[in-house]
Amino acid sequence: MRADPVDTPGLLDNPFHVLELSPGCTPMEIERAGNKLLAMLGVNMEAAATYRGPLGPRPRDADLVRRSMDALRDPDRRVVAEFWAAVPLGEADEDVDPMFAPWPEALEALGWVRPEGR
Amino acid sequence: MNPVPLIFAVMALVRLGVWAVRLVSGEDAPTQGTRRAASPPDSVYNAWIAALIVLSALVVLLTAGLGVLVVIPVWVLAVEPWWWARLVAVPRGWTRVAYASGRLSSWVWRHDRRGGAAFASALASVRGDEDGDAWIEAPPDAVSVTAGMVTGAALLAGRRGDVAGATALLRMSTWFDARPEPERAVVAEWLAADAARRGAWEEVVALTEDRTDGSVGLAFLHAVAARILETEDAPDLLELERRWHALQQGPLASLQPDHPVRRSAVALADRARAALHRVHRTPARPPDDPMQAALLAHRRALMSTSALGEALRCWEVVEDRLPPRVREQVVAELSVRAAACRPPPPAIGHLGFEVRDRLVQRGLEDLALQARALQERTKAKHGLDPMAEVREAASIAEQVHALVGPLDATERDPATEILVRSIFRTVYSPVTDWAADLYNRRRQPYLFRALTWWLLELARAAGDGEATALYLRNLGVSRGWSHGTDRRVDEA
Repeated sequence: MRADPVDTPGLLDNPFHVLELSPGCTPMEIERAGNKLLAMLGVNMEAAATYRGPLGPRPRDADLVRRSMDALRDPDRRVVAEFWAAVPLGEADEDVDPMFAPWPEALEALGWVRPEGR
Repeated sequence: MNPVPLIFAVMALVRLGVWAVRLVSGEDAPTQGTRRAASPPDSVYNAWIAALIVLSALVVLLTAGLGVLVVIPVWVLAVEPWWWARLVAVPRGWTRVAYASGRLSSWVWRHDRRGGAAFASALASVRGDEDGDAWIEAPPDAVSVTAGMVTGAALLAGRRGDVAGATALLRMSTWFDARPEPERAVVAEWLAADAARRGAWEEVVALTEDRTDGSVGLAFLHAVAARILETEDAPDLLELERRWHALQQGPLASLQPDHPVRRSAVALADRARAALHRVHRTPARPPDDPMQAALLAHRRALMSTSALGEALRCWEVVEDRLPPRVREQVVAELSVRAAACRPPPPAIGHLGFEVRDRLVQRGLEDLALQARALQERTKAKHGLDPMAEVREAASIAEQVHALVGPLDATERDPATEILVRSIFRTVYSPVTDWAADLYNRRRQPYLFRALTWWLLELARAAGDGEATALYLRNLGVSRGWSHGTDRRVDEA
């Protein structure tokens, strides 16, 4: 089944989580954090390649950082992002049970699909 | 008395006997209508056996009988060359040897040697880490597409990264008749892995239940899924470790210890071990604030499809407090998660209705467009090459599967029941006409039968007795000349 990709992220890829900022951050802090991450990604620093979100570590790239910066510069979109930023990050909630989580790498692990970097 | 001549005589007699039985029973080569297709592999195979007899006799004579120690194992493998493919060619990635071995297989692939060749070479290409086409012949129009060819094409598509296309083809292959066990095991493992990717652990258990000796992958997936779901036959720690060790010695062996894929497998094994000692806590008290409860439930739903219903219920409580933009994001994110469910989750509340409606409407539109295009093409007698026809069939079947789940499900919610009937009305005429064209004009009897089996299950699910009877008749008519089937053909 097809579902529309989420072009205005809610919980997934929330701009505050991507830029590792709190909902009360200033515009200057947004620019500083975004530019720092772009520079780190530009030199392929591992620390910048993932960020910690409510669902655990997620990949981060330059495009996502730029889109997050754009979202937080827009007052309307920032308000919406603040709404979602109220969800605590992964490990903080004891009620999250990862037991039933999927195994996205199953086909690669069983040798049916070539994994990257093999 | 020298037993060697006796051994040779017995082997030759067995081979001739098998050949004679197959010749008389007419089950040797696929037939198409009343015509019996030419059977090149038989003459090649028999020439191969004859050459072996001569060479073996020479070896034994020249070595004064000691050569029988070499000749007998060679004979065992030569009579069923599939074992050369399975034990030697596939693990080493020798695609050409695998292809030839499959083509000469007279027992495992006796009904589908061309398919066996395609399957074996694709398997060798995948397991042997080779690139490029792996001697899969794009079957010309004169050749009937079979399950082995479909599975081989699917494996190569998966190797190239087209996982969705490969999954659709493999699911389509399950509708073909007379599939040998090696092909069934591979398909079961892939579909179980696909279910694991989506977190559908119940589906993993259903696919792997009686197949744990089929491969290390099947055994491991079953162990993990059974432990996570705490089924009755869930393995103990010792058995779990044994299957994990086998996986590490098998598919994972070529990966570096710090490779992300290997780490994910380690994490899954840890999860299964943790399930052994799982303490069932009483659920934490939900937050007093319904909005906070909805946000937490939303997060759980994004992690696991089993939590979708709870999230929809929580959002239903606070729906009138949501700004329109946030509401749109809730529906969009839950739709992305729900797209992995087979069938879509039931509609709970307005938001649930929107989530389901968004997925179902799009799916129905796509299906209707494809059915219309198929009808036009059939009327215009415009045929595609055989494997492209299979891909079309796989695409339609996969869309239906995504909308309503497995066709043989015994229980469906009322909305899905209505959806099944709507889908059947959409696809009945175009696909039935197309299947008939494939049989009558395109000489694709196996694909025709696979489509008819699929239509039969869909008709039964939709409760259409007239169509069910039609498809049963169609299967009976073509069954007279084709090889056997392991599907039930009794009336609904």
